[in-house]
Amino acid sequence: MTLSVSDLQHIAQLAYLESTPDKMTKLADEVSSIIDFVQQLQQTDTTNVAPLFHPMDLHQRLRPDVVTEEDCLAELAELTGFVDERLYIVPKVIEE
Amino acid sequence: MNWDTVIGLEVHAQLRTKSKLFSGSAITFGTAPNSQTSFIDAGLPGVLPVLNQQAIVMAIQFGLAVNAQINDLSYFERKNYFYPDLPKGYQISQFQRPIVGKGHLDIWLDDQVKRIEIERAHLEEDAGKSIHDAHTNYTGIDLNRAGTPLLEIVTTPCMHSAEEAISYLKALHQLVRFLGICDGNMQEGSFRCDVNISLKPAGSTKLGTRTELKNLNSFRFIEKAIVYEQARHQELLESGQAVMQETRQFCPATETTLFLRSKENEHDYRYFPDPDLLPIAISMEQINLIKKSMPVLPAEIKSQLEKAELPTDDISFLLSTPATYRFFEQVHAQSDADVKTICNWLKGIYARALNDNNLTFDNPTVPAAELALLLNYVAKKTISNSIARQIFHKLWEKEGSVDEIIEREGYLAATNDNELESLIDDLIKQYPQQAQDYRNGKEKLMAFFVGQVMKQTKGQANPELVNDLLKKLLA
Amino acid sequence: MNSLRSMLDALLQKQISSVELTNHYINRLEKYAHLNAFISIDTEHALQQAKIADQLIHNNQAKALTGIPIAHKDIFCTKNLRTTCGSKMLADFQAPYQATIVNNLAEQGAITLGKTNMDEFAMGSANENSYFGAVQNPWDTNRVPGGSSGGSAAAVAADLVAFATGSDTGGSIRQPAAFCGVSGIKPTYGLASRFGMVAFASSLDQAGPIAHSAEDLAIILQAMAGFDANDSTSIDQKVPDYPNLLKGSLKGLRIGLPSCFFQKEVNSAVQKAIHEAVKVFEQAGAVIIEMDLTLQPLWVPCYYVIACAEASSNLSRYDGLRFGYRSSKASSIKELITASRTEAFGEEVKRRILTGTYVLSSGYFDAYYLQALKIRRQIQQELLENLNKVDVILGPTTPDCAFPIGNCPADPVQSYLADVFTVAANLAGLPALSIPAGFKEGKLPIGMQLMGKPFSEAQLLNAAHQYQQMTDWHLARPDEDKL
Repeated sequence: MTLSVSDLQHIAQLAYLESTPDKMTKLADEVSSIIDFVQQLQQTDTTNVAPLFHPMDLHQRLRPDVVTEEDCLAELAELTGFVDERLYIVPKVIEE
Repeated sequence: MNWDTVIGLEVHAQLRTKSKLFSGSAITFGTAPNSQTSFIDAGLPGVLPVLNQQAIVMAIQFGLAVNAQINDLSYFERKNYFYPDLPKGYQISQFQRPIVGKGHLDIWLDDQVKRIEIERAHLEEDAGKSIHDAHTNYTGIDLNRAGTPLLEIVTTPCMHSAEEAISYLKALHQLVRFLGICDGNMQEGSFRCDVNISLKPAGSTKLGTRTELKNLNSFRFIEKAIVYEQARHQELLESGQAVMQETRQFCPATETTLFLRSKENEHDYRYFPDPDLLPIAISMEQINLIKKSMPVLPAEIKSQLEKAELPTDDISFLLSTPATYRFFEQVHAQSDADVKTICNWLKGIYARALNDNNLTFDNPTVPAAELALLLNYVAKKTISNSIARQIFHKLWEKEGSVDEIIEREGYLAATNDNELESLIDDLIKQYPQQAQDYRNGKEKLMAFFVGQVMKQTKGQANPELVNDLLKKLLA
Repeated sequence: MNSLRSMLDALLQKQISSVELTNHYINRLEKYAHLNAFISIDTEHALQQAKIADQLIHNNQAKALTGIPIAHKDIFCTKNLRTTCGSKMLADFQAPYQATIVNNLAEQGAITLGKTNMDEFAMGSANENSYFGAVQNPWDTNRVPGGSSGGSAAAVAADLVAFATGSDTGGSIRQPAAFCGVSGIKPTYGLASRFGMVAFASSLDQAGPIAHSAEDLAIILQAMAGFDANDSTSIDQKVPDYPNLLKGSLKGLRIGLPSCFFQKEVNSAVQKAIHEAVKVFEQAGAVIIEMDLTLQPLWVPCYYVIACAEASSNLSRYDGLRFGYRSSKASSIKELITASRTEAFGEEVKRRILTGTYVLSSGYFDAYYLQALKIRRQIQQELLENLNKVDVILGPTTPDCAFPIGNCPADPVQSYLADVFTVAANLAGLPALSIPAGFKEGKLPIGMQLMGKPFSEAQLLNAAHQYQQMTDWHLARPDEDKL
């Protein structure tokens, strides 16, 4: 198996996901199975092949430097109960 | 044991665009929290970024100013990590292919030029702000700043002292302000400097472990931080201890650096090209167009002013802010006065008046045209310096234009020989009896004529000159 | 009224009012609520819209779709109804903005009846990954409708709406269309705006319509598609008049038949139906050209690496802090975000986020992600080269038909393999559609896929339309008694 439970723990940390120990094993199996499956890509010779990031070979359009937005905090605040004195409220961040 | 200090600098310059990098929100400093947070800035589901043209123009301007390679194709990548002030859970930045490649900026240290190598400059969006002290139980997040365009400018580790570092930073600070791409306000966070510093045994080619210094928002603090950190590294190394690779912050109160976080907790940012954005293509035509409309750069201005034999202090003053130099130029363009005179006026009376009123050359109270006219009168000796200073103060108080003030106060002295002569001729015609009497020996009448001349010139005429001319013309 | 055209004509000729039509659908969707095709419905608002539509029709101000009741996949942000993406994370999310394609259809007068059920965050091929429960296939309510646009396909198949919108990242429009015996098209990448469509995998996602026929699709796609300045990946090209381009004869149309589409893994009934369809095309004068797509075995693994990678990043914004589900566990930021995501995401979403995070992580990026992107280019190249020799590539949409609900294989990879024929179009950015081509054992729909060059929607729709003039698979409807 490609992925051990501890490998998965590390990945889960990066993704801010958690799982109970019993579920972790199952998840590790499943993700491992997926990784094993996609492993076959490594056997393909891709020397001198440029990666294809977008299906269309186009360039980024530029937008004029104009202010088009207004204060929409009223609408944003409706999406969460956690706005106070115009600030989003989160648990105290210790560092910095 | 002798040690070499090795310093590399990273500056995040906030670009002076009107709107954000990927959204149409404004980026004015100091507005109410979350008043400039759009749906795109808040990272809501289904929203998409669209790139601000002016940010590209400004990045190119910077690249041209530091003789850098401008990449014809560059792209944005996502730097993935979680933090409450990072709404999308990733920052749109540039990693493998930045818009600006290698360049350089020359600095002067005791009349010696040193070339600082710039590794790259790339565009990225700023994060929001965490407000920790607003409340005891929670942290507040303000996303006004989230999405603001930043140009991150990175040097190679080519500096070896606090002096060199500060000199480079000041030159860079001046450059971005003169380019008009950044207002350089360090208090407001528009120009942020991070220092990477390490020590190695003198002459060794192997670099030591480096530490990163953050939270440095003035040149003074940067200098102190570097000096402190240098000493701290030295002490550790000399006592046989290892320098830990970490990020430290400067504490202004104690003027020391303090541990912030370990580099071992370094995030795996999982950079990959942002699939919501396409590669940025820049053509030679675009670059040439921008090149043509580049403003004159500080180095060039300095050179020009040196040729005009302006002393270093004066040059520094004129280059202290873009507005100062711009004002100087405007006056110079409209005045025959020489460069030194203009500079003296700006540096002296004008700067004092601005300081007293907490103003800057960004909003000059006395317009350049008026000052230019005033200096022209002085140059022609139409008015004296002391009268000119009085006029300046009246201009400051908005008591009218230069001509109006001169007219009203009667400052215009007939100091011109010809004008005085014709005035005296007129007087002689007006008082032929007195003229004849003087010629016939009544020398007391000289005083009468002198009095008349002074009356007509409101006391401005030069008495000695008047006497000589009267003697000549009454003869 | 079997077609959108006949429905529109009936409305314009005042044979039926939009209010009547809307009530007709409301009755049906209430009657067949057990299909679970909808997540939210707003009948009041819909009837208001219908009244307005009738007024416009009366004043001769009708537009392309005035008065037609439709549904949107719950992945498209709508102002009136919540947008849940089939997830607990967005169960109460009320968007303050609307997806561009929703606006486009609304501007043409379409009436939104509700938001359809879908696999959570578009991840799935059976609509069993929804926080709001599985959707039943109208052809056999013990079976899945396909996914991720399962709700939309089921709603159309059961005539609960005139048509519905879907999204397609690896086949999520075409596969449920095939399972439910309806027609669906994924346009060329960039043709339809992605603004307001919750992102799964940005370089693969596309919006598209699901309806009863190619002719219907043509009318709807014309209204949906078009340049959008809010989407940097939107193509700035005039949208062709698709409905008026359905006139071409099939004579000389070069149809490519890849041998890999007829491997033994493909169900024999499916193969048979496709071969029959090929005969129909041949009779109409099309030329069949056999071809070989040697890179086909790489399509699915390549797709999953890219899709999971992009998804892992696109879903990072779901941290519970500004919108969406927020856990009540709150001692630290990290705990809050982690708990919110863990409690609100389903298993498949977590699997894909973890897979995506892995393939982008330090040490694995080159071997997995970068390699997949290089193979993507090779795959696109091979398809484009072949599309120079043929006009359309034809084959089954899926290797088999709808399977029973609850039949999830233990190994997630098994489900992924079912996407074998559809992912190629997303990887290469090509347009592809699925139309009904028969039934397995007389009861389970079989879908046929047509794929073409970029911007060849008109040609694909025409080929499909001509086929539908010569066959009547698309006219079949599930047994009302069994619904």
